[in-house]
Amino acid sequence: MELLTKLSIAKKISHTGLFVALALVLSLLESSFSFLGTLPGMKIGLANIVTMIALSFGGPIFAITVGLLRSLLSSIFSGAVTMFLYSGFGTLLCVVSMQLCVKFESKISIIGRSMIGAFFFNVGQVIVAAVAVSNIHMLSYLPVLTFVSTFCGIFTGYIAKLIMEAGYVGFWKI
Amino acid sequence: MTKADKRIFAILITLSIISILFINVILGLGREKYVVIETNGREYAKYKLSEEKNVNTIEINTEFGYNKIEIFSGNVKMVDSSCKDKSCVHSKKISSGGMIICLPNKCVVRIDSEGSVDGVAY
Repeated sequence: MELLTKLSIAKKISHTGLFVALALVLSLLESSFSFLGTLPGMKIGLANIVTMIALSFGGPIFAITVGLLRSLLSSIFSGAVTMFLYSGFGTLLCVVSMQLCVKFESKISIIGRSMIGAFFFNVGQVIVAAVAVSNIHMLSYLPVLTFVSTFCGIFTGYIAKLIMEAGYVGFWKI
Repeated sequence: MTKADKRIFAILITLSIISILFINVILGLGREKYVVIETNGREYAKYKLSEEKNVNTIEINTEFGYNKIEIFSGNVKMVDSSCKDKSCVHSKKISSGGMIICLPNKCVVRIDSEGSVDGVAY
């Protein structure tokens, strides 16, 4: 149900801006929660809700655009631009893996997709971190991240499910 | 949650737990600790901090003086020194962090762990 293709260019741009703004607010909001931040790179992933909705609203290209713009802007706002490399590559893998889930395995609901997306986000993050510090031991950090992110993935997936069921589709038609 | 979701959940959680156990217990990665001895600001020697009970005695002879440390069951202690005040000998044994300093002999004994983080910037 890729609704975005039916819209005009101006509406596409404005929708992209809307989604980026929403994701940005969520990612800045969650960076102020520090109870999960005992390890670097560990977040709830609230912005992933927007990425998931963007994926089903406008397809993979739209979701990647929104995700990359969000990581770029949030890394600039938080002051650490190198964070863009981490979350940018993570977002890319995340969207691709979620899209593959939609294509090949229809039994997986949005919660499962969210878990897979969170896992691949971590994979991307850890790969970039391992390359950046050129230390393969960074990969030993992946299981810990995966363990936490699976639970966070269920949480964000459930929120995304609630939003989708609430009929956001009608809202966008304005 | 559908059946497929539960399967994904089970796979991810078991995989992560197994690999956490594998990395920490079998490989012992990231828990390797070293005793680093520095004299006059330069690294003099580096030893693995073993958990074994037998005492490993190391003598440090430099132009600034003589020091003797013991490594035993994951602890490091300064046992002898040629300095006057012996405050290094009286200082507590260190195991996970911290340092023993003998100022007259310009000797620093500290514990360094592999993969430790100096600082994190977001």
